[in-house]
Amino acid sequence: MSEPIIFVDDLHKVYRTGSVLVRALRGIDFEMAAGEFVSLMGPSGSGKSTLLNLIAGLDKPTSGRVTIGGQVISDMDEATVARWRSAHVGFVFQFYHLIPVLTAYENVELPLLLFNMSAAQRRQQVLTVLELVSLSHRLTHRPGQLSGGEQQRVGIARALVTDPMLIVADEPTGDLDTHTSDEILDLMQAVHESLEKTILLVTHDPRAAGRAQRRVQMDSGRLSVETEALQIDNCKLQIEN
Amino acid sequence: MVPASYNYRNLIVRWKTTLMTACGFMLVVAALIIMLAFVNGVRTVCAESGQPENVITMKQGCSDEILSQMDKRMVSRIEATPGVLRGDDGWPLASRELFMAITQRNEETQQYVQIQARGMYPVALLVHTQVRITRGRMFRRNHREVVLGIGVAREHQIHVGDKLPMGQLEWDVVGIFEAGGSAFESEAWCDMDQLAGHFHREGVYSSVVLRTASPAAAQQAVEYLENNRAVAVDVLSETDYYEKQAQQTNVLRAGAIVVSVFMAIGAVFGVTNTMFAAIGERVKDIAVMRILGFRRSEILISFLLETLLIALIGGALGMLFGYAINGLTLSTALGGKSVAFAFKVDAPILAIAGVFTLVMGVIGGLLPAMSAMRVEPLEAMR
Amino acid sequence: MIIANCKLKIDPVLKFLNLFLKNLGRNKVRTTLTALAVIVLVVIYTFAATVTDTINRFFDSHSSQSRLMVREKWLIPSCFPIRYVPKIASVSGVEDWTVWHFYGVFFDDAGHAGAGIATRIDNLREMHPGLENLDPALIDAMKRERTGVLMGQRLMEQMNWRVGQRFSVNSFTHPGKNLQFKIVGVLGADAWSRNFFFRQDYYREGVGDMDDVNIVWLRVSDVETGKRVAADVEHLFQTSRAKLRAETESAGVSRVASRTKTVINIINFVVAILLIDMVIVLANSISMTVRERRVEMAILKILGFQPSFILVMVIGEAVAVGAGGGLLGAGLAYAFTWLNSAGQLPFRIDFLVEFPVPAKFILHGFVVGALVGFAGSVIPALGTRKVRVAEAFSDAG
Ligand SMILES: Nc1ncnc2c1ncn2[C@@H]1O[C@H](COP(=O)(O)OP(=O)(O)O)[C@@H](O)[C@H]1O
Ligand SMILES: [Mg+2]
Repeated sequence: MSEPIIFVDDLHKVYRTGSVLVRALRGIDFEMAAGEFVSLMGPSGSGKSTLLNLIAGLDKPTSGRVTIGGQVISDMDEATVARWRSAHVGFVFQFYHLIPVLTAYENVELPLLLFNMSAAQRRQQVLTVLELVSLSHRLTHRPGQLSGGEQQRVGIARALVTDPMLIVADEPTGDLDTHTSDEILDLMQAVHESLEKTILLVTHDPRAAGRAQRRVQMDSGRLSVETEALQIDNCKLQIEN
Repeated sequence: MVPASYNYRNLIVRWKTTLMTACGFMLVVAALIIMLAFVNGVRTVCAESGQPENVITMKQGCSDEILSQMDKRMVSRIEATPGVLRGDDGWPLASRELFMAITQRNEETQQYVQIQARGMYPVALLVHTQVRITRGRMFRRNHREVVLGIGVAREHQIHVGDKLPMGQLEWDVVGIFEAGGSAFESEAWCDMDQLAGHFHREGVYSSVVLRTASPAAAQQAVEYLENNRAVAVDVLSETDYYEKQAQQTNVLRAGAIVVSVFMAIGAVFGVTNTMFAAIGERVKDIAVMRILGFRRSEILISFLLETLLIALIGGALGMLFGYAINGLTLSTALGGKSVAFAFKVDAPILAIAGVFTLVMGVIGGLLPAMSAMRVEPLEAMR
Repeated sequence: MIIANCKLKIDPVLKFLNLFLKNLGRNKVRTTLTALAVIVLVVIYTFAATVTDTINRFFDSHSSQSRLMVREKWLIPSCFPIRYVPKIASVSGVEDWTVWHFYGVFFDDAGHAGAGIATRIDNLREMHPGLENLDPALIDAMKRERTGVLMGQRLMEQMNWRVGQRFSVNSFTHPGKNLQFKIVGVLGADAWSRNFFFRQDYYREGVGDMDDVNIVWLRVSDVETGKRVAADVEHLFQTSRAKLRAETESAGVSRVASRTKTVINIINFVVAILLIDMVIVLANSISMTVRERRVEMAILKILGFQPSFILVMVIGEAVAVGAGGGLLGAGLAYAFTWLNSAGQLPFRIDFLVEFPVPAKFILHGFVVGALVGFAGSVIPALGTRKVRVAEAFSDAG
């Protein structure tokens, strides 16, 4: 396995709603290697999304550090982290979150507008990733005209188009049926294998978690067990039987 | 940058709201243009009427020709002013004029018509050089004939060969004249002696207009007459005289601006409403864009642009409607006179309308765009 | 039994009121912005409408059919020899008469002007509409003071003069014939606020050979007599040097009114645009609200509310915003002109002093606002009938 590029040190996150304090993360230490595919599981409210957001630089920890590729992103100011994010992280969301008025092509192109690229360069890049997710025939469709699976594939294309080193996905199959979920997971696995992307996948679904090389379990703001993918798969098979 | 297509697609999706909001802008801009075009039209008439080489003299204290009455003695002294040009016959180019507003009742309709008559001698055409007979011919001395300004002729539908009742008698309309859109076009010109005789105003003059060689010479003549104790006259260059008349429209112009500003405030509230609603529906979009790496400032600009787009649609429609009034002729009271004028939409007015549009757009868009900028992506996505 | 009946009737109405008051508070920003827009537009609407209303009221107060105006037949300004007056006054059917000599003046070098009228003082109250209630003591005072004037309200305010003060003027209608006056009293009536009245005998003394009459007013008993008197007067002077025209006051005024036509039309046009603007602002706001509440309305339908209830709820909301905004806007305009006239503001807009917003316009603003609210909400409200029950279950919102 290659060098770790993501370091999470003693990460704490406390949310304050009025006078109520919610300790969402209570000291997380965690590493990811370049090109690693990790799944993050745990019951609802255990802090998975919170951790993912901190790693992706969407939020600031209450204490602790997140270091990615040698840069301490938890210390960056908002504008800097925004630009860093656009270059290094791709996002896939549960509810796709495509812009309704833009076509599939335009949705995928959107992040590229933050870069100094010619229209031709952008076009090539967008067409390449849409080809990769097998949506070359849906360029001019609006999200409303696409199925859930197709929308999520557009979402993945949008995450890939800037060629980021890290892709984070928060329950990307949470809103899809089993068959479509499998297609999306196949796609993510393919992305991992052929493009050697580092992927952090948050999920409820043990089947989805099974696609990862390593899985991490969370509970009440702490990492509990780290298990090998294979074992879980076996457990699950037993349960299903 | 957030692509502009994002904004205009959204405007099209919400087309009803977009259109209604734009209508608010349209009304402001159209009303502004129409009101200013009215004022501008009247001012243009005044600006066209005065020639800087001409000097107008009226009885002292009379701001308006309609009140002025001078006798022969005073008039001869005025004509002797140095610097007044002389005609081929050696006589000074000084036009004695008798201006009268004559109300005439149309016995059929019981409606009153006001005819503004100006009695004069042939020298008048050498003084008011902007006057051209465009149809028919000039009236003859000692005949009961009139030539009509194109403005009156148009307003009352009178043609060469018609009869024009003035006082007890009917006068022959023998010609139509144009005078560069000036106040003269609202008048009926006729022979001094005929007019004075008919209305018992013999030996009475309302004004004398002197022709000099240049604006500077005119100024000298003005000073000469002002300092001359022997003639008690109010004396002005013709340009200044009509400029003073034009100042009567200042209140109207101020009113037009005030009304427009109030309407603009209304439109600003309208567009603010619309944009707040638009942003309310699109917080998720904003959150996604922020997560993808767009900066707050880019979100701000994007929504400001969207507001400006609405403003521009409305402004353009308003200019179109406003421009439609251009050239429409009406007549209005100006001092004691009534003048025919044409609504005049010109570049400065369109520029004012454009500035109004932009300012309304920016002010109306600012608060909503700032609220869009403040959207916290994680909270919006929860 | 009776009490129970009453309760049954009142209860739903109260609930209904409560619901739409809550709805108004739902989107406070929108309600506030919409109301503000209406307020601002109603303020300017009130000013514009006041201008036309004041002018119309002026013309209306001069619309008597039993007052005749006698003037030079053709010329403006009218002017004829004073020796005609006794002949006119003695035409049978004339019950009372007075004369007017116009005397236009500047009070100072700053161009503050006033329109003086020299006339008979003894029947001043009887012959001038709006002066019927003038204090008779002032008439007596005028009879005692040869140089006395009764000043219009506005002129007094503008010049900051007091009763008892003396002043001299610079006449532009009678150059060189500058009279001196003593202020005897103030005219309360709006219509004469820019005029001042003084004694005809003093005028004739002061201007000498220029003592031509501008207008003679006659009072007759009825319209028919008026027509005959008018014909007689015109006939009497048919062959004289200056011909006369006699017409009822209302006819004379309508001729003057036609001169202000273009400006009045433009103001009316602006008023119409303002109303349309208000309707659009309200319609837009309401249709946005309706769009955001479709799911909620579907739920109300599921709960058994009639479509007509939802319709009334939406219209009621708009009418409330419109009426509230209209009331506030007109109230503000009223307060503003009042403070402006009373000199309570740090600045003073002279133009508005001429056109004080009457108190009745506050109610007017309320009604106009309510009507605008109704007009603006009818179409969006009718649109709610298309809300389907199924929309409650869809995610679209
Ligand atoms: N912005 C927030 N404000 C307050 N509490 C929050 C916020 N975000 C998350 N939480 C709380 O933090 C805990 C962890 O949430 P989250 O990370 O979303 O869990 P998961 O994704 O595992 O379901 C939960 O109890 C949640 O209610
Ligand atoms: Mg979560």
